Amino acid sequence: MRLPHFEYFQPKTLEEACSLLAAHPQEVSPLAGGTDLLVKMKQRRVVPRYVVNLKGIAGMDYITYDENEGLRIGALATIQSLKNSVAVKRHCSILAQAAGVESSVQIRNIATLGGNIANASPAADAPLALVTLGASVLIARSEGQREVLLEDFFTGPGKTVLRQGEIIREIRVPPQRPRTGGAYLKHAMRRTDIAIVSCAVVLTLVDDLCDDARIGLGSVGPTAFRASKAEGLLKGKKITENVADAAAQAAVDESRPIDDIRGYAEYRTTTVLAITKQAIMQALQDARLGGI
Amino acid sequence: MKQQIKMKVNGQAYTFDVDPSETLLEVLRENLKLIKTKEGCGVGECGSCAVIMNKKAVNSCLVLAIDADGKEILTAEGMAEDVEYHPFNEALIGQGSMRVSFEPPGSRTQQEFFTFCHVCPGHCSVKATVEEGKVVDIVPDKESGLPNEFCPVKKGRFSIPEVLHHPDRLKYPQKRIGARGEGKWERISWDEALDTIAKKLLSLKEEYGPESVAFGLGEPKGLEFAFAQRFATAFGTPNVVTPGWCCGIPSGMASALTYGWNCVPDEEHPPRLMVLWAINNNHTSGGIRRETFERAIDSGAKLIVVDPRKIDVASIADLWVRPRPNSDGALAMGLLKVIVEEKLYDKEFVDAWCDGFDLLETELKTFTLKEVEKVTWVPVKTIRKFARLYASTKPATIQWGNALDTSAIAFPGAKAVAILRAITGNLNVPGGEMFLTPAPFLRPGKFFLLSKFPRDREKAVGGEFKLAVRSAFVPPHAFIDSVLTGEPYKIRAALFLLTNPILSYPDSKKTYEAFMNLEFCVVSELFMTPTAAMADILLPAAWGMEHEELGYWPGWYEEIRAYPKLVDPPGEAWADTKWLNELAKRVGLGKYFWESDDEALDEWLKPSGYTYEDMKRKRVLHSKREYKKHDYRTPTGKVEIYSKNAADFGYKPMPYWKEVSNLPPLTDEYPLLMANAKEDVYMLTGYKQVASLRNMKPEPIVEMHPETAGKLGLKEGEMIYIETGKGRIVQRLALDDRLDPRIVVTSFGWWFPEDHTGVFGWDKSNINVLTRSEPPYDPGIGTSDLRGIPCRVYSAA
Repeated sequence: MRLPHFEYFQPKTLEEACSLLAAHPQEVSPLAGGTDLLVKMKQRRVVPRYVVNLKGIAGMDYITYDENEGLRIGALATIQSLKNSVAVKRHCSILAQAAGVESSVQIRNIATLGGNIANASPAADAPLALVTLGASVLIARSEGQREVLLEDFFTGPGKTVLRQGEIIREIRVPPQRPRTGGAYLKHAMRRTDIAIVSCAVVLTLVDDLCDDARIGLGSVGPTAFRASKAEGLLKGKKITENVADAAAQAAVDESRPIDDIRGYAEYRTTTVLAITKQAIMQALQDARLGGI
Repeated sequence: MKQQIKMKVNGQAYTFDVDPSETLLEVLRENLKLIKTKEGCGVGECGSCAVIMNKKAVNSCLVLAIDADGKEILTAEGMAEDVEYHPFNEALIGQGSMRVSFEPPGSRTQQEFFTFCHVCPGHCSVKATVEEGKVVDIVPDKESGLPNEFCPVKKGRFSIPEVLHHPDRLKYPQKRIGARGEGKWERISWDEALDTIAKKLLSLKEEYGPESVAFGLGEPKGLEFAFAQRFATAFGTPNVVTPGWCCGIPSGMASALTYGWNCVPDEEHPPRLMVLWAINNNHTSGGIRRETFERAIDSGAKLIVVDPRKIDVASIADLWVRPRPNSDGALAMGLLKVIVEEKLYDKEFVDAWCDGFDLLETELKTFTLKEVEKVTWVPVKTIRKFARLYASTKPATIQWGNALDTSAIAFPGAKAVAILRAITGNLNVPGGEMFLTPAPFLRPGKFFLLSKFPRDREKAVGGEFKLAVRSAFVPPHAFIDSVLTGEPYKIRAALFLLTNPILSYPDSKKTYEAFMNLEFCVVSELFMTPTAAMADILLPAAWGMEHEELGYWPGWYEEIRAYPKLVDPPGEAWADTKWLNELAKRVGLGKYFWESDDEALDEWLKPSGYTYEDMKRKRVLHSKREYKKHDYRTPTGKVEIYSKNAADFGYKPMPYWKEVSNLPPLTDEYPLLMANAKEDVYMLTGYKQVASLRNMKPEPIVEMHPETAGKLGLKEGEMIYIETGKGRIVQRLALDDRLDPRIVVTSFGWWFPEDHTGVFGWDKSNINVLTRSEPPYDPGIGTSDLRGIPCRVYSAA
């Protein structure tokens, strides 16, 4: 299937890109890696009149780490570069894990983190890991920029708080505390398929108690979300099998799975229960061993 | 606006002018005629277009060509010289990235079995991986030397594991408890199901005669088709509807009535020219399998592609011919005219071995090439070029696709093509077209018991279609009309096996109505479908790999293959052969059947001296290629350009211009022509509930030239209605400036398993809502026009 025809712009700077996007409201699509946008265009679910290719903007594919600032990722960094990054593996290993299970190597090599986030699929892997890690996105526009917590960035399937003329510029992950451990589990038919259910867990231990807990769930709601009741059941407790079971049950209660072609709601519910518990126990083990 | 880009491909520097909407794949294919780097799904799932760009693997279907500016590209062609899988492709196969897993991780037993993919007629040889009773992956079998190159979409690899373990599979026999089509069911036992069916069949037979019971069969998969045919014959009903009426029989019979044989391309010796007439050989398998096709292109064969769409193979063709849908017969007559009048035919062969050439010469004088252009929309210049290239490049082969069968004038059109093959001297020469000697297994007709009890034409509905009845089927409209009008008598009950008539018969609304009026309806299926929803008794069918099976289809290969049982069927699902065998016992036909249906497997193999157990190891019995020079099984012993026998079946003895050029006019009311193609991703109407396939093609798409859309004020991406006198359907609009502005190309076979508001949206996007089941019909077979149908379109907004 061919792509629909479009008018094409290749800005060299972020400012130029923002003003191009602002100039053509409703009819313009920004293009990063293209592995989601071009598919939608081929299937004619999106037929933009203008396409603004962001790949010509230099210096937007960095991955840096600083003890105080944490991880900073340029929006054009590819998913494969996250999977391979030493900084990501050392400081946010669940992000590397999540990137590593996203689609095939051919897709990861061109898909970008910024595009992955802007696409706002509730099933996306790296964004779920980032939501759970408390990441935020730095959004550029013609006059200035703003920072939004990633958790608040998604408003529905394919929907975000991005306004016309805004572009994701950078993703920021705060530094994690000592003895913080994590786990990322994805349940799908094939390794390359999108998730039927995915779960990210990040736990921080102080002594033997869980001082902080973050649980993110994917594919069981309109957006990737934090299961805050489940988190509450872990905080301040010594995590045992029973505690994990209760938290997993709470995660089920907080999920809003639907029937779709990949699985029925009922199946997803069963999966949330199993996968959340498993992720909690793995994250606990990780935290005990020193974690992130 | 075109932009200039530069790139290095396989070490060589190129400059291309590209549109921003062109993908890297399109630029590589169009300009460099690459054959191994091809489009599969087009949306990044299958990896068939994978290349290495600046040392990184990417799917070239999802890379804009302008983003490849200044890059270095390495393709499959740059990595291997032979036609085998190249190292990169091997790596993609080997990494197991498509393997499904249903079990928690951990150690597990894993077994590998050789068998064949059973999703499409290609039947690629595969190695299946079975883990704990589940098929988790199938990969190409590169160890047996059998054709194994998957379709680029890899639809078998994707769909087989998913279908085998799909939660929606039918698992138990059920009986209808609500109104027909309402979706209320009660689980029953096999005994109850078979007793109910047997009782009904026997009482109908007694009261109205056996012909009051009909069968509807889908494309043969294993032996279920043959078992049902045998049952019908023994029971005494000639009323069996099969896909034969629009698939294989019109063209096959045109060959048979010309040479006394069907013919296929020689796969052993590559031809110097291939004509792919309405078939996308890079995606699907016809008589030329993908390996053969690739080998021929590699060795320098020329390629002519005839198709209204610029299909994948057209992008690597030397000549792409774009005819009006359903004008293929007229085009073939135009080619004959050039070849005969320019004396490009094989004179020696024609003088010695063709009967009726003088009559053909006379007929070809009755029209001009300008008239051919007017009917076919193919410029005279192109017709001449096509004819000259075909006649002067030897050996040459014409592979035809299903489109040539789906028309009321399919027979004369196919006969014209059959004559083309003969008079150019391409029959039974290496690299040309062959009459195959079948492998030594039971002839299907014998298994159908046709020699014992010939089908009674007088008793059949649609008995006037003599060639159909002789080929053991009746056309669907004869069945539908009988149910609805009681003419010539009323069919009261019907049994359907792995077929979806509500989607696949013409005039779906009429078909639906007929189903609502059937007194008794039995459906055996894998999943709930619009047709299954109409059943009184619904039977859960076991699929390929779930039971021991032999497959002789597609008939053109004249071979038989073993499909061993690898896993258990879900719930209480039974092979169709098993329940037919049991049903036969209950209606007093046990003597024509077996204690157990598996015994029939050995019977099929008797002529070979092998047992089914032997076959599981041997896997396939091949046909022989003997180049039967001048072995024409016709009354004259020659190639019959003029076939007196054809008249017995209601045909003209020869293709006549008046007949093949008689196409429906475009009117103000219906100014466009509806064409359609089988889906790349699916198999006919099936598998819409398979996630990985649906992901590739989520919705039905209708394609149109941008000019036409512009004039009608239609926007790309919107839902539009396509309407004929029969009804209207809705599909999503995509524009393609390579189409003739007078046609719209619709997607075939659409229904929506997820739509529970009615009967799975059977009438929403299904193109057979638009087709007619009234005359004109092919006189021998009853085929009606399924494409090239006048229609109009408008916005559904």
